[in-house]
Amino acid sequence: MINVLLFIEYILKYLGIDFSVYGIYGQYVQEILVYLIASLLILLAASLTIIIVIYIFRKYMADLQQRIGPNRVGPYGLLQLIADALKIFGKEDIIPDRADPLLFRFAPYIVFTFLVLSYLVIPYGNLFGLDLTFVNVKYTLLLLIAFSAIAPIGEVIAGLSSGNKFSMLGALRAAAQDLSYEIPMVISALGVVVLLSGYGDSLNLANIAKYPWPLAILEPIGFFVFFIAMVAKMAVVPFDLPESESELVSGFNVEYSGLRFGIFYLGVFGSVFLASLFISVVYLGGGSDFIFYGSGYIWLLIKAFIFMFIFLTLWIALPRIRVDKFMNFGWKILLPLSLINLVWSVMLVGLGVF
Amino acid sequence: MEERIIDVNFGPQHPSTHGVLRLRVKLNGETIVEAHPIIGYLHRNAEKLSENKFYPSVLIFMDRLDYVSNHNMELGYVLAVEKLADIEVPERAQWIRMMVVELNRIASHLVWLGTMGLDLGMITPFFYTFREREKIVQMFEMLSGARLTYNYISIGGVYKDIPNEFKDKFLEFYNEFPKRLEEIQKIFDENEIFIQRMKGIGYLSPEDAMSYSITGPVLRASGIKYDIRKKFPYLHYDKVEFEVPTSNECDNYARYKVRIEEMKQSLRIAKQAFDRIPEGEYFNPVYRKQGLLKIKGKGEVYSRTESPRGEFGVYIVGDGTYRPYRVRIRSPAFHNLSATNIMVKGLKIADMIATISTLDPVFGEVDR
Amino acid sequence: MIIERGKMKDGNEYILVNPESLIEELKNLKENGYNYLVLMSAVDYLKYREVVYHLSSYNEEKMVVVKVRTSDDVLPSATVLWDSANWFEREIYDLMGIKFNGHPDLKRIFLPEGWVGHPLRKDYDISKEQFVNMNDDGTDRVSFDPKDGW
Repeated sequence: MINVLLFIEYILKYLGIDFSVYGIYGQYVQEILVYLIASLLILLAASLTIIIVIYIFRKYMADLQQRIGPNRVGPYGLLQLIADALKIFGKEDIIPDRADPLLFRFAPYIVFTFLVLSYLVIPYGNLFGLDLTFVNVKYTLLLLIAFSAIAPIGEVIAGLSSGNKFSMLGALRAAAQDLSYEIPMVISALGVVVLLSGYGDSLNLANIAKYPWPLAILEPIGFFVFFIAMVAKMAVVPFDLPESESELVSGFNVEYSGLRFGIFYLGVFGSVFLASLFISVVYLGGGSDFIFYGSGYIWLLIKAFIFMFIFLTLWIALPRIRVDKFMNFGWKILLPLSLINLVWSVMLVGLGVF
Repeated sequence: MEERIIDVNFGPQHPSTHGVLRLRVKLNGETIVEAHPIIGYLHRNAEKLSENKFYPSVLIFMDRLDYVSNHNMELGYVLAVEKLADIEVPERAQWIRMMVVELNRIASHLVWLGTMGLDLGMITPFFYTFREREKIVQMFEMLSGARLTYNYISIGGVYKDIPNEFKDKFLEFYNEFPKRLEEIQKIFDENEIFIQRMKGIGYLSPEDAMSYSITGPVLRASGIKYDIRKKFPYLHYDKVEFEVPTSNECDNYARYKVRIEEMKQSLRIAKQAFDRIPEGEYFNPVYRKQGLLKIKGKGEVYSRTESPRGEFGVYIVGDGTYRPYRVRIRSPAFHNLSATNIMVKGLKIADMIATISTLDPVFGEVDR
Repeated sequence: MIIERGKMKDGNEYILVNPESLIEELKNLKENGYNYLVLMSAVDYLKYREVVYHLSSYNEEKMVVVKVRTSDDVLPSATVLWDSANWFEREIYDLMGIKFNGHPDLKRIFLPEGWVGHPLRKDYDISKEQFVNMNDDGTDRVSFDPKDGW
């Protein structure tokens, strides 16, 4: 099994690029180039995934609502999104008078940058002998959680810098929601870390993903809490409170238009797929090989898509929960449950069951 | 903690204010301290416009009042003019009117049900309810040729006789609709979040309801069994069997339940009316010959009808000329909306949206 | 004090009262079961304005009409008896220009605050277009100049 970074290095070598001209810095230049290529790959893959997710969402939603969905641009409406993107590029980029222009411009990129960075951290498993793990350091789980915690900060900045009362309310909701659901999510993820503590660095996602059996069976409570917290973190229906179209018009992004709005829009769908990947990696064995050698990546995709469909179905079918009940749910139900799950994991390990 | 109250302006351009409602809301965090509806953004002064029109021409303004239940609006005006000018209406027309009006009530409640889902963040039920509404609209299209402003119920009868194909379409709808309604109802009723969002929210006590002159499903959900169709029967409502659903819960969920039940009762009335449509004229033969423009009347009349939103009344003062001296319209949603403040005080923003959507205002009618 | 009794064309009985005893009469009727203020209308008869109260009951099948005439456009407010009179009276003030003494918040309901005239009056000139724009301080600026239109 060969790591993807090494693979890129070999390709560079094969292409005959000579780094020795940089003298003692040659090695660093090479490393930077390799990481740059890897990041570009991820950016490309993430963007492509987002487009696919949006297309699937539209078609799937249309199907559940007895419509046809996009069907005019290209075969089966496949090019609809490109048409939409072109349209959105052509829109005027309005910055309101009351907004703080610098922060207002900056906020969407914070959301999107850290979204793509989170994609970089996920171990994608084994694809025909190629190990698709881009970052293999000790604490990738914490890294991923940290990245996903920064995206809502972008939303808060967007909401507060817009100078609009609706967006301000949306920003406050985003902040509260992020705070109250981050904690149960992290604690329920810790359950897995505790369980796998006997298998090497269990804070490393790549190591967690190596364990092939779904831990969700051993830790149903943790899985449940993690799932709910993930839906809340994505901020989609039924927990789309920062955006809540029917109450706050469009919440934190109400003043955005054109390209910047498009970036927020992509961000939502990007985070849906990221959450599906995250859950599959932590609780369902991730990209570990199953049945065939080298099929891990494909299994991961299958698991992630199943989760994505579950998320999208919730999105389509459910009404929005009220904000105070939502907070109560987070602090009074999910947090104790996640603690129970932690104790349960410790018991499993301590009693030698696992 | 220090309380900071901010003023927020909801609307008139807002996704869930059902048109052009504007609310000036004082918020303490997410909690509503005060909410004052400000209306008039769709004001066309149909009352003034009517004064310069002949009696039959006024009908087009009625169509544009409550654009969700146009037939009911037409009926209210037509009944008033018929009282004023002593116009006989053939039996066949009366029964057709009754059927059409009840079908329109179902259509109106379906629009309400779908948009209420949207207000709560549910996208999907909207499409299911509009699919059902589409069938009714197609039936109306068969009758009148129009899909929105029908102008079908006319002074002296109905504009056209029912076509033959209508019969099959109606029976198909009659057989299928209860199943579909149950299906749609399940989406709401079996959803815990929906129940939580509706139960105990937007309390309107019967005393307040009476003081604010509230009528229609909102009143009946507050436990007062008051329906013009039963109390002051017009057309042939005293000859058909139906029940008036009420509820004592006084909250959003009660209003939802009452409207769902009302749809079932309306279907029942429509079927009875459909079965009893007699053969004969559908338009007063005298006026068919001489035209409607020569209608005139002297005196004051008030006609009361039960529109999907409540009591729709038309008060006409005739001075013996071909034009009405004064037309006054009582629009039910206007009054239902005036109770907004007492209903939403102390609730969250999300509840306010849900409460307003269960009041079911239609702004063509509120602003007239 | 009841000045006149009679029947309207639709069969409802009406009573005509003088403005001083209006609230008293309405209160009497309310206590006698007419607890539902159906409609308040105002009709302009050029020499005087007539305000018509349709009263009904939530419990019984009955209806009565109370009329009151005013030539100086001032009447006592019925908001003490019904909350719904609030918006009714605002509407009548807006469109007919009758002021109601004792109304808590008598301002225009449909038209902008600065509108000139009351449209439902028979002497209102409908051929004159009015353009309402907002001043910087939020008040209305009304003009009859088409240049101020959009």
